[in-house]
Amino acid sequence: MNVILKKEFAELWRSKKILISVIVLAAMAMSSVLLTRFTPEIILFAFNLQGTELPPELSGLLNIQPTFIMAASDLFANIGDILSWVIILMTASAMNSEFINGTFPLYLNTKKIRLVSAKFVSRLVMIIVSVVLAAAVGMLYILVLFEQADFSAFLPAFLIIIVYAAFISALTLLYSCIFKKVIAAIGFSIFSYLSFSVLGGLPVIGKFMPTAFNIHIGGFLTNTANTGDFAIYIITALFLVNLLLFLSNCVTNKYKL
Amino acid sequence: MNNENVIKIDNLTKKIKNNLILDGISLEIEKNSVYGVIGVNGSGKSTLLRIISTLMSPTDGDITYFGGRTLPECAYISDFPGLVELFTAREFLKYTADLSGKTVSLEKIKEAIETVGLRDNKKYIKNYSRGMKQRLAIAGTLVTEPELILFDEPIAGVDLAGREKFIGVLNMLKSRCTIIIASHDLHELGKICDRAVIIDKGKIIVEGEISELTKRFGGTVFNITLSETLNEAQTAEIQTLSPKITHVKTVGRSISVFVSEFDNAVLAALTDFICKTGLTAERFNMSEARLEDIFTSEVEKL
Repeated sequence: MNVILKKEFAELWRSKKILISVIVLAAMAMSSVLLTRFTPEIILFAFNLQGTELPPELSGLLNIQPTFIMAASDLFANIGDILSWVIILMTASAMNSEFINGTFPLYLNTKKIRLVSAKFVSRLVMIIVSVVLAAAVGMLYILVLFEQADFSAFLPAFLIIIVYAAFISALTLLYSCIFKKVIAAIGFSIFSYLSFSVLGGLPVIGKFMPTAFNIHIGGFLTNTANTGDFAIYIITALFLVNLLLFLSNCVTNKYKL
Repeated sequence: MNNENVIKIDNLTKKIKNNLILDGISLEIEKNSVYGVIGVNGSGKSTLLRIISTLMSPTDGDITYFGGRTLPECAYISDFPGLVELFTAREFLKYTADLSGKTVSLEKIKEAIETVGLRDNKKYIKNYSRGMKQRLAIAGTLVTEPELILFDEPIAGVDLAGREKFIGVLNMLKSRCTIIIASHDLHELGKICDRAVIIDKGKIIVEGEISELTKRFGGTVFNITLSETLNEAQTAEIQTLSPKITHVKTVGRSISVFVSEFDNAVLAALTDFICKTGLTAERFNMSEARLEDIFTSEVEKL
């Protein structure tokens, strides 16, 4: 295995970042399914607790019976959302920590692309592991609470989430290369994430933005997916990931004290 | 000198926000030698090392490394060396060896750890003291033996025993690597450097072989502690006692008189002068001028 990648994995493991990522996402997956399944009961319980009558405009909500598709859709939407924050917090210090801790001189004779790609791949693997475990927890809860086991749409949903995670990781990594201060990298990553989320809501082009992962996952879960749109979405996201990694490498090569 | 055997620094200038950090530095550093860069804090020695290591770009000027433009295999070790905090000493040395593409045996790694006085245990580097981290960084150079090693204040946080070990390590590496050391701990540098440059405010004050520098600017120092402080006129008068007196330095009641070579006449003139002032010499000793004495005298002349 690549020596820098090995070191990155060791650091992620020993700093407990992998563990934190797995726990946060698994807890989110578990609570997401529980929340979807018991939303009517929770609403009713909350109003009973207050001792007030349920307003008529909300009573309609109680008649909606949560389904397996709703739970799966919510599961991926919530994993995607929390994933963005986990990635930003875990990756914002990836490269600038080398500058801050003074370890950058260790790589004087190393091609910087090796360093950038090791940072990216290690974090992506961490996210894949976390998402797989979180989704497994979610699927288990869905199976128990909804007694349905049609998980055929889960594979493309995984793929979409991973591509999205790669995009957010590459975006945050670029800011981590640009800014020596972690807080600046976090701030700009959040700003860009929110900007892409807004772009994801635009008509026509919005569905091709990496942040519009929900649209495509929903399509697969309800069997209404447009494979053409899906392909364009994946190609756009992968293009952006490569572009961001290329820029990260350029910035790191130009880096001077 | 053949370009393939030197690091040639030509008219190097560094400006940061209108502050001239380095001002036209030109040097030739011979291959497989130990070269000292001496200067007080803020003199520009760290900037010079960073530019040599390519961690910083010069505003103007040029560097060629043994006849080429590419940085040779290089290790840069600062006074706060950057190490992989969540690694043990052994893992870190293995990592640096792997990064350099060299196959290094476990025995060599263990030997390097022991050479710098550390222990091969499971302790993470984050739990090391500053001195231990510096020693480990130095051990890294023993394992990888790069062509060029740049030490920026390498023994700043190291205790006396560690300093001796550091000098031992340098002596081991001396014939195999080109070593450049920036420090203001001149006494230690004097023991190990072949040549040195003294810089102040970004300019070269003096450059040459250590032995040459000591001969040229060194000689003997008379250190005298008087019962009272001398006034400016009296200090200036000492300077006129003999043409062999190169410099006089006063710190409170202590005076240091630098003479180019020991001479009984100078000694007699000095004792006569002290008697004439009516002061008592509480302490009087004579020693060979050290590198820091040279440095102090040259900087103060500016």
